[in-house]
Amino acid sequence: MKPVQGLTDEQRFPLLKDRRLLEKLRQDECGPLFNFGSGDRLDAAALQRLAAYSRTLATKEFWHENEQPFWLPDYLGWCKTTVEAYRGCSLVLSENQTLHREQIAERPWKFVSTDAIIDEMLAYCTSGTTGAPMDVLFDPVSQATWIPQLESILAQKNIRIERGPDKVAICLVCHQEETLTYASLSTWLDGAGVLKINLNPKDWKKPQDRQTYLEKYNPEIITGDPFTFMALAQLNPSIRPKAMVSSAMTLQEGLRQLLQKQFGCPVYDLYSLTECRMIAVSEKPGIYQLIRPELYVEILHPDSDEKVLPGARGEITVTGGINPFLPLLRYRTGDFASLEFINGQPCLIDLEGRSPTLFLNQERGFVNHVDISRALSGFSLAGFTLHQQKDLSLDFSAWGTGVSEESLRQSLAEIFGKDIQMQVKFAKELLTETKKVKYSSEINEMDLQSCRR
Amino acid sequence: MIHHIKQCPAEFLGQPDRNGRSGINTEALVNDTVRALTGDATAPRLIDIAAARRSLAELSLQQICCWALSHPFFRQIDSGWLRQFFCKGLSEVAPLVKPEQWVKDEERAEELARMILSACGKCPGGESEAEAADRFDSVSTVKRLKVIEETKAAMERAQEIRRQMAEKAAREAANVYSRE
Repeated sequence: MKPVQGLTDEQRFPLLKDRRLLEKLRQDECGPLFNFGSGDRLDAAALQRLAAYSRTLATKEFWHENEQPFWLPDYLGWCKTTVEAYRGCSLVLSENQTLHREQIAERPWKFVSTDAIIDEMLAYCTSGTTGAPMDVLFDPVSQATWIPQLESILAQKNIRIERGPDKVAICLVCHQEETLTYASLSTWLDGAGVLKINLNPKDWKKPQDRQTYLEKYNPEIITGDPFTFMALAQLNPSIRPKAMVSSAMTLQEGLRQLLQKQFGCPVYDLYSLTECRMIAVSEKPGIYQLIRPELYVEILHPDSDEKVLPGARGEITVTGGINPFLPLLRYRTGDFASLEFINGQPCLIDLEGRSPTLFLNQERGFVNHVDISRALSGFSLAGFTLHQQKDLSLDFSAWGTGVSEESLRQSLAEIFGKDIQMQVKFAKELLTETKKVKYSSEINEMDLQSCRR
Repeated sequence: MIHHIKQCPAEFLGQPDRNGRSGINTEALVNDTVRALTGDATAPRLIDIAAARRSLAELSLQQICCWALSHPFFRQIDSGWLRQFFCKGLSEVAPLVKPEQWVKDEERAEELARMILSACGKCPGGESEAEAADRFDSVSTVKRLKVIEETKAAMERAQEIRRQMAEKAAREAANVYSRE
């Protein structure tokens, strides 16, 4: 859903008086047709909290193998006394039932701590790529922790993001039919630039401007998903980022090596969720180092709330975080891995469950499933499954109420092309609280090699 | 003890006399009770309850307590706790309960019995200190109203969050730095 009410730049950046870079990024003649504005909303108190958090990351004081973090008893006590949903919780972590996404989606307000300042609340609706759309509540500080968290990762390779209003520090690159795009600044980085752009030529005055703009501002950090990075590699702008950060789905090793070679920088694969943001990062296949000492990770049996044996695979379950609007207590992520300590650092091994699902339109052009989610979110569906076969034909099943099969068919045809073969099954059903969304595809990366948009 | 409280004679439930005009002289009753329990029948006024500053409900409850303390059990124990009990122990709870409820309602009678035993540092027969405290909490009017108040505050807060959620979802949030 596109937010409709914008803010002023003063509200976006209460502490940044010098906003010349922002104007330059917005008004550049080869810049994209930005469709939105955004800021980090950090005031002095928030910046202080962010600085305090950043210091805790620097020490990287993780829990030890077979031990729980030192902060856990206090955290559980805090949850019990300030979070309605956790009122009855036990102060012994393992005695608590696990928490599922649906429980938060149904009543997000029950998970807000009484310590959270409601006026600082921000709401974000997830796209529903791994489940049904859900409102996630957070505040400017928990959102801005992304940068110190990244800095703590980069520090291991002595890479430093420059501060000051002369450079673009971070550029989130998308490759979608439609997405919010904006130029912004980072208060944490003393006014350095932040961009969110879409490589879709429709978002630019001239297709060539995509390279020109990227080359002109040469962002220090490029973030995006593997599909976007593939498209960026094909576009091949002459940029020299200090690092690239892929997220949203697993980055395949072949693509990582290609990007590292082409852009001459380390390429990280980030494991993160909207519910808690960053969890772990990988710079080599199969090993994801945990990033945050304040986010405890357990590996549990999928069918019971018991821990698996040390080193065995199970569901990644997280407790902690610093978002007072959604403190997590044994939250099941739906992703699977085993946990091992390597040089004293907890690492997720063989993380799975986030493999990219590839879709192609009738011209064999790449379709990002975010665009499918967005198009279908306009219907009152209780859930749906979409599968694409090798011959590109689609099997779509949906259930819900007040929707016509014809309008669903039309919506999919707008994305995949009007001549694409599709089987649409629609069952009328009362909307239930538990929604299900599933994407699957027989298309693989080989099919994608000739794909261009 | 509960049974004893519920047998409270109507005289103890009479309207307290705050102005010295009519009704029961609560202060005299309290001091008679204290004299009886201390075994000093001729002592001058032992407790000044400052009746003029107390609510009628509290004076009524003091009167009911005088009856409750006529139970033979209290003659067997130390009486040092009485001053504190009459002067400070009843002010918070008294206005929350109609006086006759203390002797008519089984749960209020139990609350009063436990309140008095707790004040004199004794546990009902067969209960440990923790059990007695737990059981007292479960019948405590003050605790119950506090829970209701907290629940009400929590509900109001939840409503406010829901209201603002709809508003904030339609508003610009904050910078996103990577895809999730």
